[in-house]
Amino acid sequence: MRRIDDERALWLAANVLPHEATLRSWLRSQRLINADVEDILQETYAAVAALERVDHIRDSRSYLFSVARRLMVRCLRRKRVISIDAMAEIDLSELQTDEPSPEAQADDGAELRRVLEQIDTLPAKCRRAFLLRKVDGLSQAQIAAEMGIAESTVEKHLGKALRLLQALCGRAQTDASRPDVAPALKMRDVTTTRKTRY
Amino acid sequence: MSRQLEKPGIDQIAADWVARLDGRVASAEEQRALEDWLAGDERHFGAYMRAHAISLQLGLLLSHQVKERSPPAVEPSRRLLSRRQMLLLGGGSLAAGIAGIAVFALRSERDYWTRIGEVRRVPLPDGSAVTLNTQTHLSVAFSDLTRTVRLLYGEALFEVAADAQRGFTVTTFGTSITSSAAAFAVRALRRGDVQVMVRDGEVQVAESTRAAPVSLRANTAVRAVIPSAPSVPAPLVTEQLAPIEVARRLSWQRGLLSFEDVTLGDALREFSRYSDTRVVIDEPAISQLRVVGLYSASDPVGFAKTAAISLGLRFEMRDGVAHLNSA
Repeated sequence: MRRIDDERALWLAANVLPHEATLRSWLRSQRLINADVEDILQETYAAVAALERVDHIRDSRSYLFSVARRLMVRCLRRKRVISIDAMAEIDLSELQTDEPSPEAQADDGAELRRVLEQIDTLPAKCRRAFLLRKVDGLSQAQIAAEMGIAESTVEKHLGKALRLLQALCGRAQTDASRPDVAPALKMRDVTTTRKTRY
Repeated sequence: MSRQLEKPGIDQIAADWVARLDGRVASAEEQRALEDWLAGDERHFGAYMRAHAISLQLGLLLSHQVKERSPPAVEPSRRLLSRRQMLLLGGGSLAAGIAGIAVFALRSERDYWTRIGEVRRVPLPDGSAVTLNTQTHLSVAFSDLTRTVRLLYGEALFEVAADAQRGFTVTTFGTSITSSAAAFAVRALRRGDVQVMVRDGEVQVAESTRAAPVSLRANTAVRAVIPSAPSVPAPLVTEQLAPIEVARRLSWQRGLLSFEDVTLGDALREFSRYSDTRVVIDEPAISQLRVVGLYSASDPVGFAKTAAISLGLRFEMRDGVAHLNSA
Protein backbone atom coordinates (compact mmCIF):
# COMPACT_ATOMS: atom_id res chain seq x y z
CA MET A 1 0.00 0.00 0.00
CA ARG A 2 1.29 3.40 -0.93
CA ARG A 3 1.85 5.61 2.03
CA ILE A 4 -0.45 8.59 2.35
CA ASP A 5 1.54 10.71 4.63
CA ASP A 6 0.79 14.26 5.77
CA GLU A 7 4.43 15.05 6.27
CA ARG A 8 5.29 14.04 2.71
CA ALA A 9 2.26 15.93 1.40
CA LEU A 10 3.52 19.09 3.11
CA TRP A 11 6.96 18.47 1.64
CA LEU A 12 5.37 18.21 -1.79
CA ALA A 13 3.50 21.45 -1.15
CA ALA A 14 6.77 23.19 -0.27
CA ASN A 15 9.07 21.58 -2.82
CA VAL A 16 7.08 20.44 -5.83
CA LEU A 17 4.08 22.72 -6.09
CA PRO A 18 6.17 25.92 -6.40
CA HIS A 19 7.91 24.44 -9.47
CA GLU A 20 4.88 22.89 -11.08
CA ALA A 21 4.15 25.82 -13.41
CA THR A 22 7.74 25.91 -14.69
CA LEU A 23 7.76 22.17 -15.08
CA ARG A 24 4.48 22.20 -16.94
CA SER A 25 5.59 24.85 -19.40
CA TRP A 26 8.90 23.07 -19.93
CA LEU A 27 7.08 19.81 -20.67
CA ARG A 28 4.78 21.66 -23.03
CA SER A 29 7.75 23.04 -24.90
CA GLN A 30 8.81 19.45 -25.63
CA ARG A 31 7.22 17.15 -28.14
CA LEU A 32 4.29 16.34 -25.94
CA ILE A 33 0.58 16.70 -26.12
CA ASN A 34 -1.20 18.20 -23.13
CA ALA A 35 -2.61 14.89 -21.96
CA ASP A 36 0.92 13.52 -21.77
CA VAL A 37 2.09 16.60 -19.89
CA GLU A 38 -0.55 15.99 -17.25
CA ASP A 39 0.32 12.28 -17.13
CA ILE A 40 3.97 13.05 -16.56
CA LEU A 41 3.18 15.58 -13.86
CA GLN A 42 1.00 13.08 -12.02
CA GLU A 43 3.69 10.43 -12.39
CA THR A 44 6.29 12.87 -11.13
CA TYR A 45 4.21 13.52 -8.01
CA ALA A 46 3.71 9.78 -7.57
CA ALA A 47 7.44 9.08 -7.91
CA VAL A 48 8.46 11.74 -5.41
CA ALA A 49 5.65 10.88 -3.01
CA ALA A 50 6.69 7.23 -3.05
CA LEU A 51 10.35 7.92 -2.22
CA GLU A 52 11.49 6.31 0.98
CA ARG A 53 13.17 9.54 2.05
CA VAL A 54 13.43 13.07 0.74
CA ASP A 55 15.92 14.57 3.14
CA HIS A 56 18.80 14.00 0.72
CA ILE A 57 17.19 16.25 -1.90
CA ARG A 58 18.95 19.58 -1.64
CA ASP A 59 17.80 21.15 -4.87
CA SER A 60 14.23 20.02 -5.32
CA ARG A 61 13.82 21.89 -8.60
CA SER A 62 16.67 20.09 -10.37
CA TYR A 63 15.57 16.84 -8.84
CA LEU A 64 12.03 17.27 -10.15
CA PHE A 65 13.20 18.11 -13.61
CA SER A 66 15.38 15.01 -13.71
CA VAL A 67 12.49 12.82 -12.57
CA ALA A 68 10.15 14.43 -15.08
CA ARG A 69 12.69 14.02 -17.87
CA ARG A 70 13.09 10.34 -17.11
CA LEU A 71 9.32 9.89 -17.12
CA MET A 72 9.01 11.83 -20.33
CA VAL A 73 11.54 9.61 -22.08
CA ARG A 74 9.67 6.59 -20.80
CA CYS A 75 6.40 8.03 -22.04
CA LEU A 76 7.80 8.71 -25.49
CA ARG A 77 9.43 5.32 -25.69
CA ARG A 78 6.19 3.65 -24.71
CA LYS A 79 4.34 5.43 -27.46
CA ARG A 80 7.03 4.79 -30.05
CA VAL A 81 5.78 7.75 -31.98
CA ILE A 82 9.06 9.51 -32.39
CA SER A 83 12.49 8.47 -33.46
CA ILE A 84 15.43 7.96 -31.18
CA ASP A 85 16.93 11.06 -32.77
CA ALA A 86 14.05 13.14 -31.62
CA MET A 87 14.51 11.82 -28.15
CA ALA A 88 18.09 12.93 -28.18
CA GLU A 89 16.90 16.38 -29.11
CA ILE A 90 14.87 16.77 -25.97
CA ASP A 91 15.83 20.09 -24.69
CA LEU A 92 18.14 19.78 -21.74
CA SER A 93 19.44 23.31 -21.91
CA GLU A 94 16.77 24.53 -19.58
CA LEU A 95 17.83 22.04 -16.96
CA GLN A 96 21.48 22.83 -17.19
CA THR A 97 21.49 26.56 -17.53
CA ASP A 98 18.32 27.88 -16.04
CA GLU A 99 18.90 28.52 -12.38
CA PRO A 100 15.83 29.12 -10.26
CA SER A 101 14.88 32.74 -10.67
CA PRO A 102 15.24 34.84 -7.53
CA GLU A 103 11.50 35.15 -7.08
CA ALA A 104 11.10 31.39 -7.37
CA GLN A 105 13.64 30.93 -4.63
CA ALA A 106 12.23 33.66 -2.46
CA ASP A 107 8.87 32.28 -1.50
CA ASP A 108 7.66 28.70 -1.65
CA GLY A 109 4.24 29.65 -0.33
CA ALA A 110 3.53 32.22 -3.03
CA GLU A 111 1.80 29.77 -5.33
CA LEU A 112 -0.86 28.74 -2.84
CA ARG A 113 -1.31 32.25 -1.52
CA ARG A 114 -1.99 33.29 -5.10
CA VAL A 115 -4.58 30.52 -5.26
CA LEU A 116 -6.14 31.66 -1.98
CA GLU A 117 -6.58 35.14 -3.41
CA GLN A 118 -9.02 33.57 -5.81
CA ILE A 119 -11.06 31.89 -3.13
CA ASP A 120 -13.80 34.43 -3.75
CA THR A 121 -14.26 33.02 -7.24
CA LEU A 122 -15.62 29.78 -5.79
CA PRO A 123 -19.39 29.34 -5.80
CA ALA A 124 -20.73 30.76 -2.52
CA LYS A 125 -21.75 27.47 -0.91
CA CYS A 126 -18.52 25.76 -1.93
CA ARG A 127 -16.53 28.56 -0.41
CA ARG A 128 -18.53 28.61 2.79
CA ALA A 129 -18.25 24.84 3.27
CA PHE A 130 -14.53 24.96 2.51
CA LEU A 131 -13.87 27.77 4.99
CA LEU A 132 -15.99 26.13 7.69
CA ARG A 133 -13.87 23.02 7.20
CA LYS A 134 -10.46 24.64 6.91
CA VAL A 135 -10.77 27.71 9.11
CA ASP A 136 -13.30 26.66 11.72
CA GLY A 137 -12.21 23.05 11.66
CA LEU A 138 -15.81 21.84 11.57
CA SER A 139 -16.51 18.25 10.59
CA GLN A 140 -18.69 17.50 7.58
CA ALA A 141 -21.60 16.73 9.92
CA GLN A 142 -21.11 20.04 11.73
CA ILE A 143 -20.94 21.91 8.41
CA ALA A 144 -24.15 20.20 7.33
CA ALA A 145 -25.84 21.38 10.53
CA GLU A 146 -24.40 24.89 10.21
CA MET A 147 -25.49 25.29 6.59
CA GLY A 148 -28.73 23.35 6.93
CA ILE A 149 -27.91 20.96 4.10
CA ALA A 150 -27.31 17.22 3.81
CA GLU A 151 -23.93 15.80 4.67
CA SER A 152 -23.63 14.31 1.21
CA THR A 153 -24.14 17.79 -0.23
CA VAL A 154 -21.39 19.12 2.04
CA GLU A 155 -19.11 16.44 0.67
CA LYS A 156 -19.93 17.53 -2.88
CA HIS A 157 -19.26 21.19 -2.07
CA LEU A 158 -15.94 20.37 -0.43
CA GLY A 159 -14.92 18.17 -3.34
CA LYS A 160 -15.82 20.86 -5.83
CA ALA A 161 -13.98 23.54 -3.86
CA LEU A 162 -10.80 21.49 -3.82
CA ARG A 163 -11.16 20.58 -7.50
CA LEU A 164 -11.47 24.21 -8.48
CA LEU A 165 -8.67 25.38 -6.21
CA GLN A 166 -6.25 22.66 -7.25
CA ALA A 167 -6.96 23.44 -10.91
CA LEU A 168 -5.58 26.92 -10.25
CA CYS A 169 -2.32 25.50 -8.88
CA GLY A 170 0.71 25.21 -11.05
CA ARG A 171 -0.73 27.34 -13.81
CA ALA A 172 0.92 30.63 -14.52
CA GLN A 173 -0.91 33.63 -13.18
CA THR A 174 -1.78 35.02 -16.57
CA ASP A 175 -3.57 31.97 -17.88
CA ALA A 176 -5.10 30.88 -14.61
CA SER A 177 -8.57 31.45 -15.99
CA ARG A 178 -7.77 29.25 -18.96
CA PRO A 179 -5.62 26.65 -17.31
CA ASP A 180 -5.36 24.31 -20.23
CA VAL A 181 -4.09 26.72 -22.80
CA ALA A 182 -0.43 26.28 -23.48
CA PRO A 183 1.55 29.46 -24.11
CA ALA A 184 2.67 28.21 -27.51
CA LEU A 185 0.66 25.53 -29.19
CA LYS A 186 2.59 22.87 -31.02
CA MET A 187 1.30 21.29 -34.17
CA ARG A 188 0.41 18.11 -32.35
CA ASP A 189 -1.53 19.93 -29.69
CA VAL A 190 -3.77 21.38 -32.33
CA THR A 191 -4.54 18.00 -33.81
CA THR A 192 -5.41 16.52 -30.44
CA THR A 193 -8.88 16.83 -29.09
CA ARG A 194 -8.32 18.63 -25.86
CA LYS A 195 -10.87 18.57 -23.20
CA THR A 196 -11.26 21.70 -21.17
CA ARG A 197 -10.59 20.80 -17.58
CA TYR A 198 -12.52 23.54 -15.91
CA MET B 1 -7.74 7.27 -26.97
CA SER B 2 -10.20 6.30 -24.30
CA ARG B 3 -7.43 6.84 -21.82
CA GLN B 4 -7.08 10.42 -22.94
CA LEU B 5 -10.77 11.05 -22.70
CA GLU B 6 -11.01 9.78 -19.16
CA LYS B 7 -7.73 11.37 -18.11
CA PRO B 8 -8.96 14.81 -17.05
CA GLY B 9 -10.99 12.94 -14.48
CA ILE B 10 -8.02 11.81 -12.43
CA ASP B 11 -7.34 15.13 -10.73
CA GLN B 12 -11.03 15.57 -10.04
CA ILE B 13 -11.49 12.12 -8.58
CA ALA B 14 -8.39 12.64 -6.46
CA ALA B 15 -9.72 15.97 -5.17
CA ASP B 16 -13.06 14.37 -4.34
CA TRP B 17 -11.34 11.63 -2.37
CA VAL B 18 -9.14 14.04 -0.45
CA ALA B 19 -12.04 16.37 0.35
CA ARG B 20 -14.22 13.47 1.39
CA LEU B 21 -11.70 12.07 3.85
CA ASP B 22 -10.42 15.43 5.07
CA GLY B 23 -10.36 15.34 8.85
CA ARG B 24 -12.12 12.06 9.38
CA VAL B 25 -11.47 8.35 9.35
CA ALA B 26 -12.32 6.40 6.23
CA SER B 27 -14.79 3.57 6.72
CA ALA B 28 -13.47 0.12 5.86
CA GLU B 29 -15.46 0.24 2.65
CA GLU B 30 -14.06 3.65 1.66
CA GLN B 31 -10.56 2.54 2.57
CA ARG B 32 -10.89 -0.44 0.24
CA ALA B 33 -12.35 1.63 -2.58
CA LEU B 34 -9.57 4.21 -2.23
CA GLU B 35 -6.86 1.58 -2.18
CA ASP B 36 -8.34 -0.04 -5.28
CA TRP B 37 -8.41 3.26 -7.07
CA LEU B 38 -4.86 4.13 -6.05
CA ALA B 39 -3.58 0.73 -7.07
CA GLY B 40 -5.19 1.05 -10.49
CA ASP B 41 -2.64 3.49 -11.90
CA GLU B 42 0.39 5.27 -10.49
CA ARG B 43 -0.94 8.55 -11.80
CA HIS B 44 -3.82 8.15 -9.36
CA PHE B 45 -1.43 8.12 -6.43
CA GLY B 46 0.40 11.18 -7.83
CA ALA B 47 -2.85 13.08 -8.30
CA TYR B 48 -4.04 12.07 -4.83
CA MET B 49 -0.85 13.24 -3.14
CA ARG B 50 -0.94 16.49 -5.08
CA ALA B 51 -4.52 17.17 -4.02
CA HIS B 52 -3.68 16.15 -0.46
CA ALA B 53 -0.68 18.50 -0.45
CA ILE B 54 -2.80 21.38 -1.74
CA SER B 55 -5.61 20.68 0.71
CA LEU B 56 -3.30 20.51 3.73
CA GLN B 57 -1.26 23.54 2.79
CA LEU B 58 -4.31 25.67 2.01
CA GLY B 59 -5.72 24.68 5.40
CA LEU B 60 -2.51 25.68 7.14
CA LEU B 61 -2.30 28.98 5.28
CA LEU B 62 -5.91 29.78 6.12
CA SER B 63 -5.67 28.90 9.80
CA HIS B 64 -2.37 30.71 10.08
CA GLN B 65 -3.83 33.81 8.52
CA VAL B 66 -6.76 33.75 10.86
CA LYS B 67 -4.37 33.30 13.75
CA GLU B 68 -2.38 36.30 12.60
CA ARG B 69 -5.47 38.37 12.12
CA SER B 70 -4.86 41.23 14.45
CA PRO B 71 -7.10 43.91 15.82
CA PRO B 72 -8.71 45.85 14.31
CA ALA B 73 -10.11 43.49 11.72
CA VAL B 74 -8.98 44.10 8.18
CA GLU B 75 -10.86 47.08 6.88
CA PRO B 76 -13.24 46.04 4.10
CA SER B 77 -11.98 48.85 1.88
CA ARG B 78 -8.78 46.94 1.34
CA ARG B 79 -10.75 44.59 -0.81
CA LEU B 80 -11.31 47.40 -3.26
CA LEU B 81 -7.63 47.90 -3.89
CA SER B 82 -6.30 46.61 -7.13
CA ARG B 83 -4.34 43.41 -7.21
CA ARG B 84 -1.25 45.37 -8.01
CA GLN B 85 -1.72 47.69 -5.05
CA MET B 86 -2.35 44.73 -2.83
CA LEU B 87 0.83 43.08 -4.02
CA LEU B 88 2.66 46.20 -2.96
CA LEU B 89 1.27 45.71 0.51
CA GLY B 90 2.98 42.34 0.59
CA GLY B 91 1.73 38.94 -0.35
CA GLY B 92 1.18 37.81 3.20
CA SER B 93 -1.00 40.66 4.31
CA LEU B 94 -2.89 40.47 1.06
CA ALA B 95 -3.92 36.88 1.42
CA ALA B 96 -4.52 37.39 5.12
CA GLY B 97 -6.84 40.25 4.31
CA ILE B 98 -8.88 38.22 1.92
CA ALA B 99 -9.14 35.23 4.19
CA GLY B 100 -9.98 37.54 7.07
CA ILE B 101 -12.85 39.12 5.21
CA ALA B 102 -14.15 35.76 4.10
CA VAL B 103 -14.18 34.54 7.66
CA PHE B 104 -15.77 37.68 9.04
CA ALA B 105 -18.58 37.38 6.55
CA LEU B 106 -19.40 33.90 7.78
CA ARG B 107 -20.45 34.53 11.34
CA SER B 108 -20.27 37.15 13.97
CA GLU B 109 -17.62 36.20 16.43
CA ARG B 110 -15.82 37.86 19.25
CA ASP B 111 -12.08 37.37 19.38
CA TYR B 112 -9.89 37.46 22.46
CA TRP B 113 -6.14 37.24 22.61
CA THR B 114 -3.26 37.73 24.98
CA ARG B 115 0.22 39.06 24.35
CA ILE B 116 3.33 37.25 25.43
CA GLY B 117 3.44 36.99 29.22
CA GLU B 118 -0.16 38.12 29.64
CA VAL B 119 -2.85 36.11 31.44
CA ARG B 120 -6.44 37.29 31.09
CA ARG B 121 -9.76 36.09 32.45
CA VAL B 122 -12.79 36.85 30.31
CA PRO B 123 -16.38 36.40 31.52
CA LEU B 124 -18.64 35.08 28.77
CA PRO B 125 -22.30 36.09 28.25
CA ASP B 126 -23.66 32.76 29.53
CA GLY B 127 -21.93 33.01 32.90
CA SER B 128 -19.01 30.85 31.83
CA ALA B 129 -15.47 32.19 31.98
CA VAL B 130 -12.34 31.60 30.00
CA THR B 131 -8.83 32.34 31.19
CA LEU B 132 -6.30 32.83 28.42
CA ASN B 133 -2.69 31.96 29.11
CA THR B 134 0.21 33.74 27.38
CA GLN B 135 0.03 34.23 23.59
CA THR B 136 -3.38 32.74 23.15
CA HIS B 137 -5.99 33.60 20.58
CA LEU B 138 -9.54 32.36 20.66
CA SER B 139 -12.81 33.18 19.06
CA VAL B 140 -16.18 32.92 20.80
CA ALA B 141 -19.36 32.27 18.80
CA PHE B 142 -22.53 31.85 20.83
CA SER B 143 -25.95 31.38 19.34
CA ASP B 144 -29.35 30.27 20.62
CA LEU B 145 -28.38 26.70 19.92
CA THR B 146 -24.67 26.42 20.49
CA ARG B 147 -21.80 27.75 22.51
CA THR B 148 -18.68 27.36 20.44
CA VAL B 149 -15.17 28.56 21.12
CA ARG B 150 -12.42 28.15 18.59
CA LEU B 151 -9.00 28.01 20.19
CA LEU B 152 -6.75 29.16 17.38
CA TYR B 153 -3.54 28.94 19.31
CA GLY B 154 -2.33 28.76 22.87
CA GLU B 155 -3.71 27.55 26.17
CA ALA B 156 -6.87 28.38 28.06
CA LEU B 157 -8.94 27.30 31.03
CA PHE B 158 -12.67 27.04 30.40
CA GLU B 159 -15.07 27.22 33.34
CA VAL B 160 -18.37 26.28 31.79
CA ALA B 161 -21.68 27.31 33.34
CA ALA B 162 -24.41 24.70 33.14
CA ASP B 163 -26.90 25.12 30.33
CA ALA B 164 -29.32 22.29 29.64
CA GLN B 165 -30.13 23.57 26.17
CA ARG B 166 -26.73 24.39 24.78
CA GLY B 167 -23.58 22.34 24.90
CA PHE B 168 -20.25 24.10 25.18
CA THR B 169 -17.74 23.11 22.53
CA VAL B 170 -14.12 24.06 22.12
CA THR B 171 -12.59 23.24 18.76
CA THR B 172 -8.90 23.36 18.05
CA PHE B 173 -6.65 21.79 15.42
CA GLY B 174 -9.05 19.00 14.53
CA THR B 175 -10.01 18.17 18.10
CA SER B 176 -13.29 19.14 19.72
CA ILE B 177 -14.03 19.15 23.42
CA THR B 178 -17.68 19.20 24.46
CA SER B 179 -19.24 19.65 27.87
CA SER B 180 -22.45 20.80 29.50
CA ALA B 181 -20.80 21.95 32.72
CA ALA B 182 -17.14 21.48 33.59
CA ALA B 183 -13.82 23.19 34.15
CA PHE B 184 -11.10 22.11 31.78
CA ALA B 185 -7.88 23.38 30.25
CA VAL B 186 -6.89 22.99 26.61
CA ARG B 187 -3.39 23.45 25.31
CA ALA B 188 -2.81 23.65 21.56
CA LEU B 189 0.65 24.89 20.72
CA ARG B 190 1.22 22.77 17.64
CA ARG B 191 -1.02 21.50 14.93
CA GLY B 192 -1.91 17.91 15.66
CA ASP B 193 -0.93 18.02 19.30
CA VAL B 194 -3.74 18.98 21.64
CA GLN B 195 -3.74 18.44 25.39
CA VAL B 196 -6.89 18.50 27.49
CA MET B 197 -7.10 18.36 31.27
CA VAL B 198 -10.32 18.29 33.27
CA ARG B 199 -10.46 19.92 36.70
CA ASP B 200 -14.18 19.52 37.44
CA GLY B 201 -17.08 17.80 35.73
CA GLU B 202 -16.85 15.72 32.62
CA VAL B 203 -16.02 16.40 28.98
CA GLN B 204 -16.08 14.49 25.70
CA VAL B 205 -12.99 14.68 23.56
CA ALA B 206 -13.45 13.90 19.89
CA GLU B 207 -10.47 13.84 17.63
CA SER B 208 -11.10 14.10 13.93
CA THR B 209 -9.29 10.91 12.93
CA ARG B 210 -11.16 8.82 15.48
CA ALA B 211 -14.67 7.55 15.26
CA ALA B 212 -15.73 7.57 18.90
CA PRO B 213 -15.21 10.41 21.39
CA VAL B 214 -13.43 9.75 24.65
CA SER B 215 -15.03 10.68 27.93
CA LEU B 216 -12.82 12.47 30.45
CA ARG B 217 -13.69 12.87 34.10
CA ALA B 218 -12.35 15.30 36.68
CA ASN B 219 -8.64 14.98 37.41
CA THR B 220 -7.76 13.31 34.15
CA ALA B 221 -5.81 14.54 31.17
CA VAL B 222 -5.49 13.37 27.62
CA ARG B 223 -3.19 14.22 24.77
CA ALA B 224 -4.54 13.93 21.23
CA VAL B 225 -1.76 13.61 18.70
CA ILE B 226 -2.93 13.47 15.13
CA PRO B 227 -0.83 10.83 13.38
CA SER B 228 1.04 11.45 10.16
CA ALA B 229 -0.96 8.77 8.38
CA PRO B 230 -4.59 9.89 8.54
CA SER B 231 -5.92 6.38 8.26
CA VAL B 232 -4.39 5.29 11.55
CA PRO B 233 -6.27 6.50 14.64
CA ALA B 234 -4.04 8.18 17.17
CA PRO B 235 -3.58 6.56 20.53
CA LEU B 236 -5.40 8.72 23.03
CA VAL B 237 -3.52 8.28 26.26
CA THR B 238 -5.55 9.15 29.30
CA GLU B 239 -3.68 10.10 32.42
CA GLN B 240 -5.11 10.03 35.94
CA LEU B 241 -3.93 12.98 38.03
CA ALA B 242 -4.03 13.87 41.70
CA PRO B 243 -6.04 17.07 42.35
CA ILE B 244 -2.87 18.77 43.55
CA GLU B 245 -1.19 17.94 40.23
CA VAL B 246 -4.13 19.46 38.35
CA ALA B 247 -3.76 22.62 40.41
CA ARG B 248 -0.02 22.64 39.78
CA ARG B 249 -0.55 22.44 36.02
CA LEU B 250 -2.91 25.39 36.25
CA SER B 251 -0.52 27.58 38.23
CA TRP B 252 -0.04 29.73 35.12
CA GLN B 253 -3.35 31.36 36.09
CA ARG B 254 -1.45 33.08 38.87
CA GLY B 255 1.52 33.92 36.65
CA LEU B 256 3.54 31.05 38.03
CA LEU B 257 5.27 28.11 36.42
CA SER B 258 5.50 24.95 38.43
CA PHE B 259 7.93 22.21 37.46
CA GLU B 260 7.88 18.70 38.79
CA ASP B 261 10.95 16.83 37.63
CA VAL B 262 11.21 18.22 34.10
CA THR B 263 14.43 18.75 32.15
CA LEU B 264 16.07 22.15 32.24
CA GLY B 265 15.65 22.33 28.45
CA ASP B 266 11.89 21.78 28.70
CA ALA B 267 11.60 24.27 31.54
CA LEU B 268 13.39 26.97 29.52
CA ARG B 269 11.19 26.20 26.52
CA GLU B 270 8.18 26.73 28.76
CA PHE B 271 9.60 30.05 30.00
CA SER B 272 10.13 31.17 26.41
CA ARG B 273 6.34 31.17 25.97
CA TYR B 274 6.02 33.89 28.61
CA SER B 275 8.74 36.39 27.73
CA ASP B 276 11.20 37.34 25.06
CA THR B 277 14.10 37.01 27.46
CA ARG B 278 16.17 33.97 26.57
CA VAL B 279 18.43 31.86 28.69
CA VAL B 280 21.10 30.12 26.64
CA ILE B 281 22.55 26.73 27.47
CA ASP B 282 25.94 26.38 25.79
CA GLU B 283 26.48 22.72 26.64
CA PRO B 284 23.71 20.38 25.42
CA ALA B 285 24.22 17.88 28.25
CA ILE B 286 23.12 20.47 30.80
CA SER B 287 19.68 20.73 29.27
CA GLN B 288 18.98 17.17 30.40
CA LEU B 289 19.36 18.05 34.09
CA ARG B 290 16.11 17.98 36.03
CA VAL B 291 14.46 20.83 37.86
CA VAL B 292 11.69 21.17 40.45
CA GLY B 293 9.93 24.20 41.87
CA LEU B 294 7.55 27.10 41.55
CA TYR B 295 8.75 30.19 39.65
CA SER B 296 7.45 33.47 38.35
CA ALA B 297 6.65 32.97 34.67
CA SER B 298 7.86 36.45 33.82
CA ASP B 299 11.31 35.99 35.33
CA PRO B 300 13.36 33.44 33.37
CA VAL B 301 16.61 35.03 34.58
CA GLY B 302 15.56 34.55 38.20
CA PHE B 303 14.77 30.94 37.37
CA ALA B 304 18.16 30.48 35.69
CA LYS B 305 19.95 31.86 38.77
CA THR B 306 18.03 29.55 41.07
CA ALA B 307 18.61 26.57 38.80
CA ALA B 308 22.33 27.37 38.68
CA ILE B 309 22.50 27.19 42.45
CA SER B 310 20.47 24.01 42.82
CA LEU B 311 22.16 22.18 39.93
CA GLY B 312 25.68 23.42 40.59
CA LEU B 313 25.91 25.35 37.33
CA ARG B 314 27.55 28.65 36.46
CA PHE B 315 25.25 31.55 35.66
CA GLU B 316 26.56 34.54 33.76
CA MET B 317 25.27 37.49 31.79
CA ARG B 318 27.15 38.03 28.52
CA ASP B 319 26.11 40.95 26.31
CA GLY B 320 22.81 41.13 28.09
CA VAL B 321 22.02 37.44 27.53
CA ALA B 322 21.79 34.94 30.37
CA HIS B 323 23.97 31.83 29.98
CA LEU B 324 24.05 28.60 31.97
CA ASN B 325 27.19 26.47 31.90
CA SER B 326 28.81 23.77 33.95
CA ALA B 327 30.78 25.25 36.80
